[in-house]
Amino acid sequence: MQLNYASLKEGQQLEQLVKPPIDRVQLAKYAAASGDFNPLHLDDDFARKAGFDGVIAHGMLNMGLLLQYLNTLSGSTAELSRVKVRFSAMSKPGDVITCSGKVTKLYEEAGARYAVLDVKAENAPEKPVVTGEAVLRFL
Amino acid sequence: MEIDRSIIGRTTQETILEVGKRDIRRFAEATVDSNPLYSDEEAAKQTRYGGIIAPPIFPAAIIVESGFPITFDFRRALHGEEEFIFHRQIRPGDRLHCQAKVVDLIEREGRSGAMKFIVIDTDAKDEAGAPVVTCRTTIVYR
Repeated sequence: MQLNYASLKEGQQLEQLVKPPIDRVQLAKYAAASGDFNPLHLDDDFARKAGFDGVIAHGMLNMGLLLQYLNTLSGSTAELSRVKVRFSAMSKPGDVITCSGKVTKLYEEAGARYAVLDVKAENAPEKPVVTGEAVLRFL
Repeated sequence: MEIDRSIIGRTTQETILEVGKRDIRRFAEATVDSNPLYSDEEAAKQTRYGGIIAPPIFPAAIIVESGFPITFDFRRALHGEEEFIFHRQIRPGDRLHCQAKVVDLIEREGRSGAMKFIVIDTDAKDEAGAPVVTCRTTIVYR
């Protein structure tokens, strides 16, 4: 899956990463890792009172899955230099997150090579939970 | 607290986040990421990093640890956008000096009334003051 700068083309669609379904223990693990214990992600009663069907995943967990995708693409040939994401929808336990990306720009600057990617994490086709733009610097 | 442009410039107290291997591994587990770079010292040594590094979502802990420089009604707030600018890898043993600062506030008229976009930068620096990562959080406030 690792990208090779020389073979990339602007407009190119990249191989996807399909994650295992989000589960509740994962939300507890993410809460412990990040320190974000907002009950919206852990307590069904609390989430229902807030107007949801039950707990929802941390938006930052969805971002984390997208960042894992970017690091998988980077492999040992590139490094994630910066990334900006927008949170567009919620995900919940049972959701299968699929990460995908497209090369939008390739450029060289001060002797370094960069790829700009449009990336997204979706919980169903055409249903993004996180969309974003990332810059990979090739080594 | 009134959420208007007077909050620009407000900061949190600096906090220090000591990065441990366990903290790093927990993020990898939470994202179901089996990359040995985050958990296996011997395998990580064979890479160009020469040892364990943190996964790229690790700055989420820096944001939580720093807290917000302002108080507001969380029920009116949404996490709209997040940007990470990486200056170097985070590694076990790092002592990160973390501080959050309100850097901008933009007001717009939305369909359902006034919307405010609060932009907060959380910076992590190393012991020598060199930047490690910058997190730019945009909160949508209605």
